[in-house]
Amino acid sequence: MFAYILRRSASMLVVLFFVITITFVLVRSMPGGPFTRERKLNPATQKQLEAQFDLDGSLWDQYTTYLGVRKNNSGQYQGLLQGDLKLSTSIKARSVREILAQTLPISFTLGTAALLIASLGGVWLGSLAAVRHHSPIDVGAMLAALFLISIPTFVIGPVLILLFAIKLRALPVGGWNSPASLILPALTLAGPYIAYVARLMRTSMLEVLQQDFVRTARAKGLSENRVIYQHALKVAILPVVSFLGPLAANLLTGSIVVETIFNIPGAGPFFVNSILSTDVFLLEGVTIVYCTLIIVLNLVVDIAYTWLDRRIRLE
Amino acid sequence: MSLPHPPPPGAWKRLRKNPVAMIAMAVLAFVIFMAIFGPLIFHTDPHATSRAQFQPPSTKYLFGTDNNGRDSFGRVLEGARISLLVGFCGAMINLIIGTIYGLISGYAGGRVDGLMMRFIEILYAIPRLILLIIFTAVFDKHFKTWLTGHGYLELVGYSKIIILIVTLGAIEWLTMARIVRGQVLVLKNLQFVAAARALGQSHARILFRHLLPNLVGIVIVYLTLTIPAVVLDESFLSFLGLGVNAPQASWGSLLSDGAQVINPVKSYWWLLVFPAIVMSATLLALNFLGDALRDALDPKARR
Repeated sequence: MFAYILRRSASMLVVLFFVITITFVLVRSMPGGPFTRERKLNPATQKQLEAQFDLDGSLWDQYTTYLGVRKNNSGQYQGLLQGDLKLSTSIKARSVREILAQTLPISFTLGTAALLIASLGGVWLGSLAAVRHHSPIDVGAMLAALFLISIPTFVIGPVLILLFAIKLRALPVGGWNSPASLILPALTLAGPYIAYVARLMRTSMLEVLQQDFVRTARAKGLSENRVIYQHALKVAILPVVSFLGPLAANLLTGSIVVETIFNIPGAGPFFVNSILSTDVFLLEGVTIVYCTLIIVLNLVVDIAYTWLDRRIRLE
Repeated sequence: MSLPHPPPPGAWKRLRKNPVAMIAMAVLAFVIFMAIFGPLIFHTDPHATSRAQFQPPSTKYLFGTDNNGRDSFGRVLEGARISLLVGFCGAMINLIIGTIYGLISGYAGGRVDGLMMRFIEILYAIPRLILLIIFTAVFDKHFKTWLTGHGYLELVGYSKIIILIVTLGAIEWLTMARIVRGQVLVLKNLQFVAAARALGQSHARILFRHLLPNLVGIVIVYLTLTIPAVVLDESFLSFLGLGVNAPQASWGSLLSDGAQVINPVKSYWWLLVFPAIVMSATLLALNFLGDALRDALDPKARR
């Protein structure tokens, strides 16, 4: 197990390095740098700005400076290795780290709420459908799942706003002021993934319910509820656990759209704006932090899965 | 869940007996027909502005008008053209990459297979949509510069669409590659492959003449499921304002416009509702059709 964790962590570092490098190359090769405006800056000012942000020098010099293995113009090592993400070039006098420290917790709260709704709701719906196989509940749940998968979040979101915020006036239209303003965005974000988890859970539960240990549990005279929700669920939930990594990744990217719809001050809108304004450091910073988070999450989920899987096999 | 090979007889018959699949096909056929011929039949101009701003749906403006007085019906039709074009072309590229990758990986086996699958695992861990956003933004600028430099000025307006097709085509193939590989692993141990090898046929011939035809069923199923995924990705980008450029419209950008004008004072619901219905109906039909095809081609997997 220890060797497995070590091997996976090593490969994670390699992936991370590639992601950083690819992001860097793509962003820095963009035609039109961060200081290209409608009205051309005078060359001296442009030079000065570039020097100030360490954007002068060859691509290789910039790369090594950004990584933090080469001294910058002020003679210090200030890069990724030192945990420095540099200053934003479009938002005056704000560092990328500051912006992320302010916005990421908001995105996280939203993502975690959606993750809970999607996984718990999906597991419950999926098991219910599997237990009542071929019943109207099963058919109805799977039909609803297909609907949820097909209807994009940016349709569900505005429709929910139209219904609950504007017609019924029960919940806030958007923003991030009260706990109530979390409800609609979290539901919107979770929507399609409740459906994915439910489908996964149903298939896996149907398979598990055919297995011998379930028959044994029933033969022992355990109540149907205990058979299903204690014995079968423990095994059937495994595919859902392995889906948690991709799920977290999808929720993180999905929240970019949901934050835009509901006007939530998360990291998503900053990411979109950083592309539109070619804010190189902000764009690189958000991408690298997002990717790191997702890669680490994937690793944690994989380790947890392997551990659970083994424990169940040993039992 | 391995498919019987070749696809079981009567797959088409089973599909035809499935009312849901037939309705889905009818919906799809209608949307595609309207996307291609609609603008010609109704003489709609998606870019013509007028003074009739924010008109509710009427017989003159079937889906109402937007903030620039443009006919929403024409906009939705143009959206259908672009979204479906990107969806179909992107899915085809995914299909080609995924099938070839899966074929080679499964057929080669051993170390090569292990390495190729490891690479897919790594790609799975990377948040594709985030990289996709950067890819489209960067390559669109490069491509525009290149087009202008080489004098293809009339193509500059379409640069984003072309880039979208290529980049979207390059990201959704992972699942396809895995499924094709799984099938090849089963197929290559069957006797007809051994016979072909005994006859001294080349690897390329075995791959493309013997293995590929047996993959058609499963590839079609996943093609029907990849198209809605690509359409969704494209609309995701367009919704954020990073996809097709105005004044061109895709379903995503129309929905974004519609979502922006919702407010408690006055709601221009038609700008949101019509694109939403058309897009959701299309995606639903594709997903239903994909599920039905899987059932028809693989009766055993039916639950």
